[in-house]
Amino acid sequence: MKTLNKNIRREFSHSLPRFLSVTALLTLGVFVLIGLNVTGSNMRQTAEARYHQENLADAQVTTPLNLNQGDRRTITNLKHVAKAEFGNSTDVLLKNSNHALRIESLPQTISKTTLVSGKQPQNAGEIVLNNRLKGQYQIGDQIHLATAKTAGTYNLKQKTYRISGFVKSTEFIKTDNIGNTSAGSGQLYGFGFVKAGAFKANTQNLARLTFNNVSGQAYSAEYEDQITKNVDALQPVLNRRNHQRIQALNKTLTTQITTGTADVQAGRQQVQTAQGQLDTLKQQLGSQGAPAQLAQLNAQQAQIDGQRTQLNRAQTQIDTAKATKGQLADVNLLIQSRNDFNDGYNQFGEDSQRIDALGKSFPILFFLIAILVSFTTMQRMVEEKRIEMGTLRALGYTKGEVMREVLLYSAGTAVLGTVFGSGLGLVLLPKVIFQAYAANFDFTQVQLAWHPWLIVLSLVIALASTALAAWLAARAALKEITAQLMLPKPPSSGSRIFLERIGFIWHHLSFSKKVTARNLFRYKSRMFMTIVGIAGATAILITGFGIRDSLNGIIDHQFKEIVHYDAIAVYNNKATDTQVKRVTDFITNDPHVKKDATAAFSQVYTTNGNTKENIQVLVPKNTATLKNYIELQDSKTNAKLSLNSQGAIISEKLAKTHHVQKGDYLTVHLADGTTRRVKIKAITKMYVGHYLYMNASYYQQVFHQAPSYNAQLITLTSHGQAQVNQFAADFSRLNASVQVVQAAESKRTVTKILSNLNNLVIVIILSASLLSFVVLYTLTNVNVSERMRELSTLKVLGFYPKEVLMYIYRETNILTGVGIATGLAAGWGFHAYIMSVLPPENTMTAPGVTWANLLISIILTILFSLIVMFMMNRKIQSVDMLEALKSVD
Amino acid sequence: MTNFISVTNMTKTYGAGENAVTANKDISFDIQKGELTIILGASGAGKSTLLNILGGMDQLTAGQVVVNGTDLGQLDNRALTTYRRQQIGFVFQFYNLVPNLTALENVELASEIVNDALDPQKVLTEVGLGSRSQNFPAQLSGGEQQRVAIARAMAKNPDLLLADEPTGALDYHTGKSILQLFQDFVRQSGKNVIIVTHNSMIRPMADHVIEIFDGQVKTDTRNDQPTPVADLEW
Repeated sequence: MKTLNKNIRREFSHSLPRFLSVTALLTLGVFVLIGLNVTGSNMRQTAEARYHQENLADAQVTTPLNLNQGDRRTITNLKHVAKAEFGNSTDVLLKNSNHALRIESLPQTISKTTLVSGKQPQNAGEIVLNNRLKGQYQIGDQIHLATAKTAGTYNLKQKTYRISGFVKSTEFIKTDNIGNTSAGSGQLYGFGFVKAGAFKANTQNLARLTFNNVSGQAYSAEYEDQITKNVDALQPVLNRRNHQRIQALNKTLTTQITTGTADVQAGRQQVQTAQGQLDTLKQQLGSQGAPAQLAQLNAQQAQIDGQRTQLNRAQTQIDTAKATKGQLADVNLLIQSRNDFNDGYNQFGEDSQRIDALGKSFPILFFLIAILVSFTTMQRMVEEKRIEMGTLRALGYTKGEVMREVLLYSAGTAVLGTVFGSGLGLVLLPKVIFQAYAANFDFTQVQLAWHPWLIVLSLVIALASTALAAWLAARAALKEITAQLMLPKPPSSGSRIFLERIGFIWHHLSFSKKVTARNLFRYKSRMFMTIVGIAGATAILITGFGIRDSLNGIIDHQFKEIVHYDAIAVYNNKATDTQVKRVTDFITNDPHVKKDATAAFSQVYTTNGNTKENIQVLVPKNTATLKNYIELQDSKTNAKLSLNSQGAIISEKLAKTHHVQKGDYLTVHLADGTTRRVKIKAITKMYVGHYLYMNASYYQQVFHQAPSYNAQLITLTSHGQAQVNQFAADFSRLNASVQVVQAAESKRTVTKILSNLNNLVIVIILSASLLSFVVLYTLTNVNVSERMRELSTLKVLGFYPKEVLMYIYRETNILTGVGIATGLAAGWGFHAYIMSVLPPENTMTAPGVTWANLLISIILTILFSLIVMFMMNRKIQSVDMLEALKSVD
Repeated sequence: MTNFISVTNMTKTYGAGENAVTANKDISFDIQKGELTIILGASGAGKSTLLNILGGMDQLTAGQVVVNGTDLGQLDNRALTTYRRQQIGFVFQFYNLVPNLTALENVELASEIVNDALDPQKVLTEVGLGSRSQNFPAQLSGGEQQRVAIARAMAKNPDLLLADEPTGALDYHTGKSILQLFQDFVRQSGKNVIIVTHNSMIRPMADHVIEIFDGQVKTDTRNDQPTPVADLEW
């Protein structure tokens, strides 16, 4: 037994390259399988820990109008609400800048903040800021705030606050792009919390809710489904309450306007009468009145003027009330789940699911190749051991003992491969991938976890592809009687190949080509294996590089071919006439605005599982000039599209996700959940964003009201980010401004996804390279070892080193070539698949991969092949031809 | 008469230092043109080493080996390969045919690389396998495979044909017919054949017998009246 064990140990060290290469293959397979499948889950776990710790709200209720007691009562009594906490939120500007800050009252129980340094605000004069602003401010500094709009309302009591500390909050987990705002450049620069008492009375406009009927982790189907159900059920309740309060308000406003108008009219009458009397007096008195009398007259005039001013003020109030009344239709009471009120929550979830999607596809390819190659290698090994096994059997060892060597050897590679692969996959890959996310989300470290089932699964697959292969081969071999086993296995006999039957080709082949052709088909399984291995690795390389190409391509296509505007400036066209005029004047007079076009802009949404997908509805006032801003072209034929009253033109991805075609109807929802059906007249090419384009008459048909032209499509003289931001900031100061939708926003989203995936892509490319290398090495190594005798014969015959190498390599090169060609096709398909699951819901994939990418992938594969050739050449040339030829194998 | 091969004080040592093994020690002999030479010795005597050096498959450590005017000690690896390619034909105990090539193709494998090769089909016919040239090695008997191997060596039209225990794996009758091939070759072509064997019973067929014992030449005898193989008995 001791000697048998010694023999086993020797085998390990003798064939170390083979042992290592199989181990490496399995390590790679397990690494990618485990790594890509745990990272998404680890990320969600990491987030869940923070959500739990801060008790992130399950839902939020927001409204443009402050909440009154009745509203609060309704919200608190909503079904399944465990707790409701009310708060204030307002967007302001940092004084003398375009930087917008969101200031909220510090939540006590729901969506609590985590203190990073300093103290929470102790009194109404203190503020805590988000941690990222630490670089700009220090504890103890004063910050000065200003209203977002010139002469706009200001909900805080003070304009200056002392910074008492820095916090982070899971309501704002994105580190840049914290959130959209109607203030400043349209993007929040930061956020801060003050004590509730720092807000003016009756300015609560936010309710944070937790539910008592939800369970499961954030992002789990269990949790998200329940939340969606709750929110869908509660919105109608809030709609009813909203209707009530609007009616009440409407009544109040109407009374105010009627009585106000009457009062003002009466007042004006009085003033006019008074002025008339005064004028008569003035005339009678002439210029020679006593000074005392004159003074009295002047005083009376001043009084009348004062009354006039008062009346004007009252008129303005009436106008405002009228405007407010006009806008009441737009007031809503909106309940939103985390996915909708918390952009970061949603994106982090999508990002983690994006890795899940990769984890469901890439490892299959990796493992498939690893399995194929290690399976063959192990079977080959057993065949090489035939005589040794026969000898041991002849000596009287049992079958089990004889098998032990190959079983230990093969199981060894499986166990080692699983251990290394799991270690790297559980620790390294999540950390490396998360590093990219840590830059964009407010999480510092990813939580690692064991995921024992994945380890077990990996081990089972690894064992199946090595130990099982070895066991099957050994069992088959040991079935033969021992005497036969000790004879060399009849060499795989040569056979005619198909090509020989095609005489006119065969006879024209040179001798060496005939040999190559025959050898290619001699080991069919290895031929197949090599092609599959190289094709797979090439396909992964192409896809790895292609992810980057395609995401960049989205931006290129979108902005070169489709979108020509820089921003959509949305304003409140129901504001007072002066305010609206200021907006239109501003756009007409801004020298940076090159051209603009009027449109009606609104948002609707569709549901897709638990997420609401926002759709931007655009109705151009002048349909003929729309093409200067957005080029509508058929998604299939590229034919130019124009709007008419027969239906809407919808964007390609929207049509795709809802499986609708030209002539079908698409169901959309308004903010309050009511439903509209839109007939699809055409589908337009669009890479980022969901859009509905319609003309005024079709809009009227669908929404039962005329479009409200509340937006200008803007093209600026220069399209740089700075200028667009400046325009947005200037525009946002206007009282009637609502929002500036920047076209470049989608560019940023895609770029961010790209940067988040960067590390992952690098890992995939490196792994694929390594895989390609190990596959080539393993298969060529088997090929060379198996044919040592043949190669030695050639050497003895006097073949020069290069001729000997080429004898083997002519085949390998052809297989590599076929593998690469197959890989190009497979890569094309695989890339298309990955790009269908990778981009965000509202983004189309730019088609195809670039030539540069294909070229790099091909060159890399060829390079690996050359390196392996170099290594193999050393092995081939250093073999002792005499030893090989003397033995019987 | 000029010597076709002259070996002078040739020594071959494997390894270095304490592990050094001397396989050939101070060997000297001459072989004349057109001889059938048999190198005889027990296993481990060093006869294969000698054959390998003569065949240009191994470098000698000391002394001088001149084959047909070529001083083998002066050749580097590349030149040794060229020497093997152009001047040597080799036959082994195990035939070392390429299993994936037909008998004819195995012969072509050798004839392809030399300048003045013989016609492969013709050579196969000469060794008695004219009708089996399209068969793969696995379809041939041991003796037939060895004939293919001999044909492969002969087709290169070598100056020197070396055979290492060519009948070792064959039965008596088959072995005899193989030996006959070698004798015929020498007689007809006037070239040299050297056969290495441990079987002393075949020595009468040779023109020249060199007996190796413990790495040294024990006897060096010439036989003016070689026995035709057909008359040999063992």
